[in-house]
Amino acid sequence: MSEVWAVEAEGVRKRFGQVEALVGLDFRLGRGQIVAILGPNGAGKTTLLSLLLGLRRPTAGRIAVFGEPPGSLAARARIGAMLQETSVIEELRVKETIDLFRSFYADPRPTAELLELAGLTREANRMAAGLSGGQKRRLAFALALAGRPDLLFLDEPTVGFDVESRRRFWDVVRGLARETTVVLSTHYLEEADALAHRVIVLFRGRIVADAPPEAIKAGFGGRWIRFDFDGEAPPFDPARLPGAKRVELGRGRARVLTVRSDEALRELVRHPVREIEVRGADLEEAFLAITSGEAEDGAQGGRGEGPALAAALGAKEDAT
Amino acid sequence: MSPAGRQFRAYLASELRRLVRNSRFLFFTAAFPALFYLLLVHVFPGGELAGLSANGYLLASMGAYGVMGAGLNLFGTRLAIERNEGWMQLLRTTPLRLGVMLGARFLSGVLFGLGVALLMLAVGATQGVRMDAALWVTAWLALAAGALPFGALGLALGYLVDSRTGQVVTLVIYFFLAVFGGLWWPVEIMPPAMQDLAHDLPSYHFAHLVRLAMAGRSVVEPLLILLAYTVAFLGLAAWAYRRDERRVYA
Repeated sequence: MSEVWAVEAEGVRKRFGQVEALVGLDFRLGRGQIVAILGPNGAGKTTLLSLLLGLRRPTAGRIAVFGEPPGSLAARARIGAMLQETSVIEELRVKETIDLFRSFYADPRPTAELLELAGLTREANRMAAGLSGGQKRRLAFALALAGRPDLLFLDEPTVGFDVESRRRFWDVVRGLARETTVVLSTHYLEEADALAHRVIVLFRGRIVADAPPEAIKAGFGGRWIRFDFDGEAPPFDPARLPGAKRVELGRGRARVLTVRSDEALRELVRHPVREIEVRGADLEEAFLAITSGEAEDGAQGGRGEGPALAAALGAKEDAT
Repeated sequence: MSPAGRQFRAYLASELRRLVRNSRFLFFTAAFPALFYLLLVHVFPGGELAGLSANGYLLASMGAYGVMGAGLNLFGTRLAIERNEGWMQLLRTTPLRLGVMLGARFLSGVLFGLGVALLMLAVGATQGVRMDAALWVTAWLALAAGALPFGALGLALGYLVDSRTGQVVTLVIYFFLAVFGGLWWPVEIMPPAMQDLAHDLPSYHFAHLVRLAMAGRSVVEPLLILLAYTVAFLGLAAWAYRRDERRVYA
């Protein structure tokens, strides 16, 4: 039953003239998930969101939002969107703007609750044009929530937020995700890591990874191994450690990013080094590893690293 | 209330609120024509033109000028800006129906036109313009009727221009229609070639409609011409809308 899924996409392609923006995407989004869509500029993130929102039509393939075509009134009644390019209506107050959006829906959230969720209670009577950049984003967030959406799209939501507002925003989104599916596109990889249950990585119009953030980190990012040594140079070439992707050398200390950390450690302890420290690479590093074309490398080297990587790569094989 | 009715009422209220709060818009569409009228009645010698007193004739012209500006700017510039800044995209993700939104905007334009017309007639009354009570009402309705063709033209412009050039293009068209349609100075004192051009412009027929209404004569001919312009401009708007649709939302 389609209705079970918040979003179903089958063989979705999008072409702009000669450019293939999306090259065959298949995925389903369940209820109550926070899904992050990551990808460098031009990967197809914005195109994908515009298709899900019904702003554009796919060249081929099928998309259903709660079983309805995106862009239909039935679908629009159940979604909320915070777009990247937000403007405000200059001559309206914050509260008036929110009330205008509430009028679009049959059963809107109360104004006070929306102000509270967006942290704009004190700004309720301010003119929207006079808000700061971050406050305008929060107003856009309130508008996205006005219709109690079952599916919430957040396109780069925390651009212009200070650290405190970002944390607060994350808490609110986590709270909403109990009943709402959240699709988040973000450049803040920390944001995807902190919020998402699932990360879909787009690269050149394809899904190259679709896995929990931990699996993305473990599968692609590998681990940083740090160690100290005596003398000017390490007693061996750290770049030749198994799975080494990057080496950083300091005074008496080296740091190696490896996708085969177990083998690398076994190799490392045979050398006269001290203070070995291992830690997982963060999502940003994972992301760089995937999108700089090192994913293939990582796949071969990562065979020993278990099902996480296989899960991360599964979508990639499907996509081609 | 039906969902569409609820949306329409809220959108209309919010549009009217925005109009009343936009001082620049108010100045150019309401205050400027009124002040310009006061200037003109002191510059022009008295006498009669087209069966009206000079002050009455100029009132018809400047009234038409104000209502035309309201219609053009209400859509032309503002719609282009909202299209460009992503506001229209955001609205498309909500259950607000496009027809409801455009309808509410259109009605706000007509209501605003009624307001501008009322202000102009009040200013005219202070300048010695005298008519029967019934003629004041017909003059008012005639002025408000101009919101239809110029609202439609504004709608077309709103979808044709972008926000950067929109304001300039709209202004150029506004002034062109005003000057060559005989709103700033009477058609009767123009050279014949310019008179011919004027007779092809909707602005001329609008002012003509108002003059006939004020003189208590039949308004059928200019009214039909303005309706034809309305239909043509709505057609242009529909074409521009579909073009925009293909470009932005294909």
